[in-house]
Amino acid sequence: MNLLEFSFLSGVLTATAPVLLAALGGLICQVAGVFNIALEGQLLWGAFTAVVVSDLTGSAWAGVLGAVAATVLFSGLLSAASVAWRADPIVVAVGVTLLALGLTAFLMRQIFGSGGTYTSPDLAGLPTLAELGLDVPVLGPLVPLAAVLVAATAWRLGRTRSGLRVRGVGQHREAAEAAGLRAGAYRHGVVLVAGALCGLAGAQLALGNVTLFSECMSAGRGWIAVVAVMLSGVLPGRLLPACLLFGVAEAVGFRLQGAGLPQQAADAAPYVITLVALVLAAVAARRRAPEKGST
Amino acid sequence: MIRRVVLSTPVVAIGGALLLTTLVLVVVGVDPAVAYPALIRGAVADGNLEYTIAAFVPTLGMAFAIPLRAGQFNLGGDGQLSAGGIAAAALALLVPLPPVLAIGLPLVVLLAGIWWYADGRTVLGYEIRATGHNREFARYGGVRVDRLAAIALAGGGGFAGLAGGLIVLGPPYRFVDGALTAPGYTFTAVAAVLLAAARPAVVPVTVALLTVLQVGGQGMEREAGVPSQLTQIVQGLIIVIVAVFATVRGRRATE
Repeated sequence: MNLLEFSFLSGVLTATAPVLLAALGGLICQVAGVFNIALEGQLLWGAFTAVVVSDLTGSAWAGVLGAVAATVLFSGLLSAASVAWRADPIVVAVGVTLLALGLTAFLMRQIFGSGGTYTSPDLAGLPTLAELGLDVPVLGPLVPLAAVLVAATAWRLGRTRSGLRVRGVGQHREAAEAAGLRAGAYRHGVVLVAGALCGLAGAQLALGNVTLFSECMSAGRGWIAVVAVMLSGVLPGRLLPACLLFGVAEAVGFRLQGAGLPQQAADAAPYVITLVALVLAAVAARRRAPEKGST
Repeated sequence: MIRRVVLSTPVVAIGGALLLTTLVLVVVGVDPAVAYPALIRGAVADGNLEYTIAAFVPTLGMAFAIPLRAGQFNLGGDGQLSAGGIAAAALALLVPLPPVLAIGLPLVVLLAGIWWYADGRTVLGYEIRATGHNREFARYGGVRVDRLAAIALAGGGGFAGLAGGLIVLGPPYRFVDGALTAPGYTFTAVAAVLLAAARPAVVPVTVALLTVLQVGGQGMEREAGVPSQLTQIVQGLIIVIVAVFATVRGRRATE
């Protein structure tokens, strides 16, 4: 196998994984009728807590678990505000994201004693699959896990009783409640599960893609995940290509940087490509259904 | 009347946010009795007022960029701010623009006055408020709501661009990488507009309040050693509390 090609492929998959995990969280919320655009804040919080726990314990796996637990806890605020009290989801998302930005930067200075970027020999990064004894170089264990979770979610939502109920709650809350379902409980549930997925996404970003924490390191990936959910038409199967688009753009931008493209242009590329794709997809969707699309 | 004032959204939001912030301070081992006076001094004392005004101008400009009054939300403020800044810098290279030393503050105050007048006394202002209150009802009443929403968003982007231009053309008259987005004007403006429920007469007040908090936070960092990011935490809390409280009150009003 051509090593160059494989390193490009693994670059694509590694760039895709955090976005895919966060987008999966956004998707299950959307299926249950909760508009969750706080993914950016949840992802950043997950990355920070992963680094803190990994740094304290010296174990990357403890960091992953810590990130999942801490982000589920953090999502409790979102779940209380937008599900229990039915506050405006966009406003709550802005507040939660700002809170995550502030909390991570504040706590970073309190815990590590400085701002900017933190890395240390005590900070354990995730091993690669090769180090775990599998014949796959470079990739970390959370990358294939992301793909497995997408498949599992598709199966769960499409083929199981609980999945049907989640979809029912999202499609018609009153009908689902009339059928005896506790819609609120399902909605709280999906927000917390999305928190767990964003915790995984953050851990992959901070302990898998790199081994460090830096302020605002989510860098809009949570917003890209929101876009991916919209692009996918809330179908798990279509989430993968939507997120891969971002991953390819990031990996290509990184490559082009080696070929002399300015770093800023390489940084902007994935976002430009995703934005263009969203507009094109929206136009195409409107053309297909001109009656529905007139709002 | 007293009950209404005590229970009004800004009072609850600011009170709640201050309470939680004090809790954060105590948890990280900072004496609030040291931190808060340092915050006030950092915003208004010893020539710091100059910095507060310098931050007030773009923040109020960004507050105009959020057409919440028309029921629209603008989350792209940072990008529009940067676009305005880079455009002003590029234009200044082609056509030497004069530095806008002193027109920033009078300009935004004038704009706030125009906005207040337009909101209450013109057809456009009426249509914007009608659309913000009830989009379908406004459409039924003959307002071209889609066009109005597009105008509101584009106009908002224009104001964000103006704010960016004012920053670049103001002292020190240069485009500094990150200087437009790093101080967090956009989110401060979002919090202020939500806190004021987008009422034009109240927005300058809440912008001033949150700017004092923002600039004072840096004074608190210098004097009491509290990271200034604490103010971002406060703003985030204010936004969440306003969102929740406004909804709960709205539901209670309709029930």
